[in-house]
Amino acid sequence: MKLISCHIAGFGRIKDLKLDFDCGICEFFEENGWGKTTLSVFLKSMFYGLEYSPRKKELTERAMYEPWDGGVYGGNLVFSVDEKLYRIERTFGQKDKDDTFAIYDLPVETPSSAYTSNIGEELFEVDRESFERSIFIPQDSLEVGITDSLNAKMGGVASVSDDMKNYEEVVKRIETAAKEYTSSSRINPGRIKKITEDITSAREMSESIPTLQEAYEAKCNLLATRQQNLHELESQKSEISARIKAAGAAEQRLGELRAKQQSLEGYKQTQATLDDFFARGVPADEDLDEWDSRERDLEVNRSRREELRSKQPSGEDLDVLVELFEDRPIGEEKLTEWSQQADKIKELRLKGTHSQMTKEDRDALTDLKNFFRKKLPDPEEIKEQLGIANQEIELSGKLKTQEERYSALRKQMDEHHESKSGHSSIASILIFILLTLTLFFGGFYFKVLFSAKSTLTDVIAYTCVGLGVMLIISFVGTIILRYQRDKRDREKFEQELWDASDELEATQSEHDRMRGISESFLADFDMEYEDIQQAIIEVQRRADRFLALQENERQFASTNSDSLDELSELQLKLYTSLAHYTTVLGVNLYDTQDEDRVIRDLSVLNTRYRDFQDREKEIHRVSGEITAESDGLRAVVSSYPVEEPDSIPHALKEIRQKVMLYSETGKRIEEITEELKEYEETPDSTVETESLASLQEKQQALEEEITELKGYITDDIRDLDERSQQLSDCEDAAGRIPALEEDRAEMEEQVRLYEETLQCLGEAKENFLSAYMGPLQRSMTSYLRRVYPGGEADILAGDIRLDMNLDIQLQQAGITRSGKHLSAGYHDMAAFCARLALVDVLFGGESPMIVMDDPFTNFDEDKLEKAKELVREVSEKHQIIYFTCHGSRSVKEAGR
Amino acid sequence: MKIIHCADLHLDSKMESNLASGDARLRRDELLDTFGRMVTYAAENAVRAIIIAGDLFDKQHIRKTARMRVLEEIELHPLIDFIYLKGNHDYSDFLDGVETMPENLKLFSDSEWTSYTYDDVVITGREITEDNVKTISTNLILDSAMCNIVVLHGQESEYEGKDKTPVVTLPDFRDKYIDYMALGHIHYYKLDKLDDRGVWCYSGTLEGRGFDECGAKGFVLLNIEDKRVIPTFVPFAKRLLHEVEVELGSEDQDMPAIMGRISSAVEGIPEKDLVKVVLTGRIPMNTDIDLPRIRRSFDENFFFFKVQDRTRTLINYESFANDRSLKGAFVRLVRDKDIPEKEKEKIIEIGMKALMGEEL
Repeated sequence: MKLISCHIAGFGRIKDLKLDFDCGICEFFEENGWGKTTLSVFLKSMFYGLEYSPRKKELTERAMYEPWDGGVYGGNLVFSVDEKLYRIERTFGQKDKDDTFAIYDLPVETPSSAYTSNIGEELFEVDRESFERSIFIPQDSLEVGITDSLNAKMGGVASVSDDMKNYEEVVKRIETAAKEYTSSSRINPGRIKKITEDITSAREMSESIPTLQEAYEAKCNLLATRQQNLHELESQKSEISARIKAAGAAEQRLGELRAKQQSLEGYKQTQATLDDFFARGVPADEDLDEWDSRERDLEVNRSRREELRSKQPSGEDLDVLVELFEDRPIGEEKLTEWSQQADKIKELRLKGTHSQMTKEDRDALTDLKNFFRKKLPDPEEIKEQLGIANQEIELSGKLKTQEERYSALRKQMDEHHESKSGHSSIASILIFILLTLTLFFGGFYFKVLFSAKSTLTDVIAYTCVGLGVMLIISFVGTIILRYQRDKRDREKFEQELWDASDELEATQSEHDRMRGISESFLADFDMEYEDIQQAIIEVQRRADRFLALQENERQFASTNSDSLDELSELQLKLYTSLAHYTTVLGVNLYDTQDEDRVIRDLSVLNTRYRDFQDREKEIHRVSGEITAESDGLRAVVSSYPVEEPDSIPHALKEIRQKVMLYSETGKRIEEITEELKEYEETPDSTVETESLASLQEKQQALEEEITELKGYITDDIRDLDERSQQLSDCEDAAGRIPALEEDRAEMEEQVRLYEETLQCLGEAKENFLSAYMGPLQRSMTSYLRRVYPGGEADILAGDIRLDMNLDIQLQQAGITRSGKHLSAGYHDMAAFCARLALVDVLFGGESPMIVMDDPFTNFDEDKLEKAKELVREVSEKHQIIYFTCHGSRSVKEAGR
Repeated sequence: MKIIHCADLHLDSKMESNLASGDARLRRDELLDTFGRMVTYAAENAVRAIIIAGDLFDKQHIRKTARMRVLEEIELHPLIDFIYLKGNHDYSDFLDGVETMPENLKLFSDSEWTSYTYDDVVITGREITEDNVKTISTNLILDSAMCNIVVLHGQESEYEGKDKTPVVTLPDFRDKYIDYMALGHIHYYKLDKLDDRGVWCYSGTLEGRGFDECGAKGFVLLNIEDKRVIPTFVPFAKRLLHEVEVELGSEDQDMPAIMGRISSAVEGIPEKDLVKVVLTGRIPMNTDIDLPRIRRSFDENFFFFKVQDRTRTLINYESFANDRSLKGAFVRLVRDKDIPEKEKEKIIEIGMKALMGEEL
């Protein structure tokens, strides 16, 4: 393949550039920054297009080389393959879908079907990356940069290098992944080991199911047996309980017999004691009842006596009663008579009271006497004063009206005066003066000053003057008329004002006179007032009241005199009768005049005294009864040896209790005797061979055995539950086995896949190496031998090797050393040869051009010449696009 | 008259193996609860009898609580007859140790046909064993004037079984005046015509126990009027199991896309249910499916959630045809190997991930 020419319409900074490559070595002698990389990317893009990666975040070549001016992005390339000429035309858009591609057969300019838009791969049999990274040999990178440029540009080699470098890591990664499954470490076992253990465990559990089942059934049987035993033991226990119960019953019967006998003895002793007590005979129930009744009566009497005594007055109260009534009892008739007298006295007093004025009236009368102490006006005078007061009020109203009228007139007059003065007068004067002056001046002007005098001007002048004079006359006349009018008005207002003032004064004078009369009248009375009319009305009211009260007083005085005599006489009579009693009671009727109360009190006290006397009698009588009854009962009690002979109730109670006891004891003795007789006559049917104690021991033993057995049964049931759960767990485990085995199979398969992968990778590596490294080494050695054909003392071409990283190595005497042991020049030359070898190896088919960007800047003269020679040799096989910025490094021979 | 037909309850049996032990126990108890609810339903709807067509339990050893729960339900509902036919998984007799048989519990045997009559309805059943499987139908005599319900447990087939597996050979039961054949053994509802007169029906199980038992589960309510049996499937399971396949493609290149596809696929599934998502399809090599992340995202949305990765890797061999690197050499080597395609994809996937430094 050979490039012929290209036209760059727009690509990066290059715009509309045509280049010819029709040569083995196409040397471009350009400065730095010209666009060498741009050109190499353009060439690549013609064959491979531009990558479109919308998801890539970094700047793509498509974006980087897009013309900024928005012009055509692309170009064309003419090349030849197998003597045939083709032209590729490509343009690029924002996306790969916007790209265009066309290939033409030249020189016929017809579309060609020889290649598609993937022409790069079709032609060179390598992908874009490998192509790009291999054909570009940069500047200043031969020494340390060989590897860098391989990494940057020579994709196939870079990835080889990376792949090889990473191969060990790749293997390790896979082995580590596999180990996750296969590890047999105890601390960190692999997943297969874990799942195998799970399977084993599940199998063990599954295999234990029959055993567990057997054990479970055995346990069930054992439990059943134990339950059966328990049932039997409980039956036995029931039987023994029955026997114990029977034996107990027998013993109880015996015990009862003994108890009865003892009880009989006891009763007999009691009876003997009671016989002593009742030596004089046992009282009958009727006697006991009678004694109790008498004792109750005795208590009743005592209570009654106490009650009566509590009601008796004592101390001072009694002394008063005695003093009052001991020698002078009062009968009912007397009291009634005294009451009547008191009623009469009250009636007379009331009558007297009603014949008097009330206190209010008396006080009112006193106040009015004081009010009218200076003068008591008669009704006519008051009436007259009222009239005067009314007139005064009328005059006040009239006075007010006149004052208002006077004020209005005054105001009117002032307003009238104001309207005649002011700025309007001044304004009219000024206007008059101005007009007058204007007219006179006009006249003067036309008459004197005007140059073109004529009749007309004279007329005008005279007219003006005349007008001026008339104006003066009219003004003066107006002033005179106005003055006269004003004067008339003023006189009129003043007259009216005088009249109003006179009226006002007259009214005021009359008002004051009226007021004086009223005030003079009211001065005789001690009262404050604001309104004269109201004050006079008040005087009138008080006078009427005063007269009425005086009349009342006169009437009361005349009716009281007769009743008083009768009252005195009756009072004396009654008070005398009550003298003793009132003295004792400390009451003075003349002061209190409360006869009713005294008589009432006497009646109460009299009743109280009588009650006292009655109670005393009753007390005496009851006391006698008490004494008699006590003696009788004491005599009864004394015939029995009671514990408390002095306390009759206790004694009687004791007697009664003992009578009851005696009776009961007798009955009990009979009953027990009868029972004993029956018992002796009835034989015991139960025959128990064992003693109760023995039976109880047996029962105790059985209970212990039962308790123990129940404990076992409870344990068995719990055990059965646990076994049941265990069986369930085992069955669950058995159920999990297939899934676990399936998982394990998957894991083993995964491990197998890892191993297969490792094997395949190993094979691929070998194939890869054998595909690239052998030919690479041979090619490099071939190039080196061309440079150093006869070998040199210090270097032999065959001693230089390439390692997997394409680093130069030196192998001498069986020892491999780093290429750094070589001098820089030899090293760079070896690296350059390695590059060329790489291109040979990578591009087995159609060989592309090689772009060299001034790669020999660091070579000395000798090596430079050798390198140039080598380039010229290589150019026979590969088209060389060579850039340099210095003539010494031009690879073209002179004349070429 | 109303009768309930249920079967394959598998009470107290093991559950889906990936359930946590607590959840597995809960599901086991829920099975018992569902049985209780069914009995309550029967009581509330005046059901006369409950036919249990086999596999009431399926363990040799039944927990005491489970046995007692069943017996309690029977004893608490004396007005409902429980007609119980043992199935091929009823290893042990759950009535072992019961002192007094409840009067409303009716049993069948394997030695002969047993019938129970309710007005004009006769329920007849027999346990199929290896010994009677071939001759079981020969002495089945039914009164054509009655409404006949026959209870059996086995796999229905149009043909006779070659071995002694419990098979219900349908032709043998045709034209025997059967109105309804209450079957057990199949764990999903299935109803089909038996002959001109009757139908055969599998009620399915009451609750699904694993993801091989997805879909509606419940019992069949038989309304019998004028000797006609009208069966109605009543979905009754507390929780359903759903196995959802999500096919991924080349467009599902990252986890958000995959999670979105899964979300769409499981939308509408109640949170009380159990869900298993199976990822299928072919995805690009650089697409990593983070199963733990998927589990964490959806775990709390359902009672139980499980995800399986059954995807295959999409490998474009052509893209590596000219790759002059170890990767290219590796891919080409594997491509040319004589091994199954699936294995090639897996090896390439592992190799590429390892070469690109990704986690395996």
